[in-house]
Amino acid sequence: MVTGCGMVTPFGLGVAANTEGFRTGQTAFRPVTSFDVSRQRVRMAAQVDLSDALPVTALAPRQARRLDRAGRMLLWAAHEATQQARWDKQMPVAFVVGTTGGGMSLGEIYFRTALHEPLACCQQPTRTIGYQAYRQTALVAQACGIRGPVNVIANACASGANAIGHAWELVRTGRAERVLAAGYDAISQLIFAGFDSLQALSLTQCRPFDAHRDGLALGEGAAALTLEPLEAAQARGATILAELVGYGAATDLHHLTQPHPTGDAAFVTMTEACHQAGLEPRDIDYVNAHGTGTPLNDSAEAAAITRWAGADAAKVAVSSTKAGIGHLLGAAGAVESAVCVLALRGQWLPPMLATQTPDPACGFRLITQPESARLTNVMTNSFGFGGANATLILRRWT
Amino acid sequence: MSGVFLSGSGAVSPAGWGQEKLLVALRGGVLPTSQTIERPGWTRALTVRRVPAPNPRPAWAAHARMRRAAAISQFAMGASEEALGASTGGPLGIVYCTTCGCVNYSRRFYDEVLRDPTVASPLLFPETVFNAPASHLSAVLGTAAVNYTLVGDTGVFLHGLALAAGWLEAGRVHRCLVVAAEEVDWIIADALRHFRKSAMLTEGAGAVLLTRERTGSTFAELECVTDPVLFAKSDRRSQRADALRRVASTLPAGLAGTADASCMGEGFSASTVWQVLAAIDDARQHRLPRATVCVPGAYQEAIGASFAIQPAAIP
Repeated sequence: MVTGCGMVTPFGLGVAANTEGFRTGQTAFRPVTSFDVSRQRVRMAAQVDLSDALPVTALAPRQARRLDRAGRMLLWAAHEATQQARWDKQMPVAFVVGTTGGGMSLGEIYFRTALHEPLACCQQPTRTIGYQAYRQTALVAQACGIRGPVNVIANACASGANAIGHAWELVRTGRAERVLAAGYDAISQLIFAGFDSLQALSLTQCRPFDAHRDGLALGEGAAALTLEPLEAAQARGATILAELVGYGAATDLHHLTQPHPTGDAAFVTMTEACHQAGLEPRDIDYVNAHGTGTPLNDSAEAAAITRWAGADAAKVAVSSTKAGIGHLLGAAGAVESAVCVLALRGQWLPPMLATQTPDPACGFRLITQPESARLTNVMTNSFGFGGANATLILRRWT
Repeated sequence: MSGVFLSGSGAVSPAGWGQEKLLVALRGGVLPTSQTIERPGWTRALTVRRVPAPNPRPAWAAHARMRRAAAISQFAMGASEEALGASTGGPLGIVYCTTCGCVNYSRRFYDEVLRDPTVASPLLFPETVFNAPASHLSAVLGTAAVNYTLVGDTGVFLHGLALAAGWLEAGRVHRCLVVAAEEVDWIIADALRHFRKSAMLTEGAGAVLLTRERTGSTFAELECVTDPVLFAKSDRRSQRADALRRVASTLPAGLAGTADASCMGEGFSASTVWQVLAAIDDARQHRLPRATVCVPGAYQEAIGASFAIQPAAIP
């Protein structure tokens, strides 16, 4: 059961600040200010307005200062989720986090300092430690009063979904009583330049599943969900936000950065997640697609969804929230799961307004305008470099 | 966790390609010679211990995925191939563990970005992501089953063992490779120097094959992996020692091997696999029933594990 949800996206800090943005299909792209992009092909991304302020937690100010931008976003999301769940500080809680870059910005500063001031020692040890994703995560765990084991999964852009899926498996199999699952990533110069070097970034506008799509847009953020068994949640009188009912994970062997053209691994994860949930494709009311907006990803995912849904494909509602906030990399799967929780609670479908000319390969119903809907089961896909594929299914709790 | 078996193992280390070379070096205390690497901005070089080139060249090196792969991927592949041996049958999961990740290509790519992002190599960037080696393993071994990359402190390999054991117990996979790998780069050697001036960075990989059933090659049973203990509040040695004592107190009692692989240098996650293999080897050599390891992480997390030696594996 999902009993707490926290999120930080370019739409704002907290669930309340995000709901309207996703429901109405707003976009949050603007010029990148975190680093120099003057020589990049693309100069836009969806950045979070993040002040130095942090929620009041068990962290001493000196410890909190060790968190970089990514770590601060994780802290905001984790704090919101655990506050909503109202977990007792004495409860054993495991923490599973997905990320691709961790504290990459600190690593970049370390490298530049080491290169240009080779004799400098000041702050370098702190940067070395702060760069490590698991040290950031351990600090956030400490801030939220979590004393259990911490695992950091780095499965590229599927990391957040894998983290939630793994957390669900820990709870379901009784290996953990409660798990805080999260994904986080901040835009960094190395990663931005990397996607730009691959010419994967859109020169126009991120338009998932549009026939004229030309690439993805990068974003940043974090989301966290608290997971616990039904009995434990009910015994505490917790508010149940949604139920996680299925998880599929598989590996696409085709290429390090390109999916198999027919989305074979995506088909496997969607099928596996449905099998675990005891559902058929016709039972899925909405698919939050990975939908990056790149020609290769969207055509492969479209093929996979169409094949998976079979005769029911035309009825399946599909959209990608990356149209509004960009690709959040390791945070994407977690944020998109959180969006699914919001959609289930509010009974609406998140639209992608920029998609004007649906790709003919899409044999399903693309959501391009805000819609109310009766949602019971929703699915979210996440695919990453290296062929890491993951699918989660969430169910409305009534 | 009982009922999860170690049925294959492999290692790539400065002692050479193959577990036996590592174990011989550790048993005899004859360590491979060190090398120096240039550190930009310094006249003095950094001392490290590197993996020699494989001889003969492994067949997998010709695979399309491995031609441009970083050293860390090649180490992981070498150790995995040895651990897998002739094992076949059923979905093969992969848990790849690392502390520093693909640092060589990351450093080179970022250096190019700082010089001129318009010509930064698109060939380098995909190899910078943490899970690139894991992806290559899946592709070369031809397994589309679940594949996780865990990033953590020195003991992350033990977290990986626990994760893989969970997959096997849940029936998610029939076999699982748990691999840890690291590679040398001046930026890591430089960072290490800030904490321990005497430390020598090393590189390599280690792997074990976990199975649910005993096989002809089973040599140990995974008894338990402890909960980790953080000693992050202070760098004082007493807290580190206390954390190790707390970890050790949760491990099963009884005779255990006490070999030490740290003499090879600081190899982070790879050092932990070598320690596991050395401890099991030590227990087998001395006919002890159990091998235990307690790992004090470089970044302040202690964790331990225990392995029951299979009688048939004792020489």
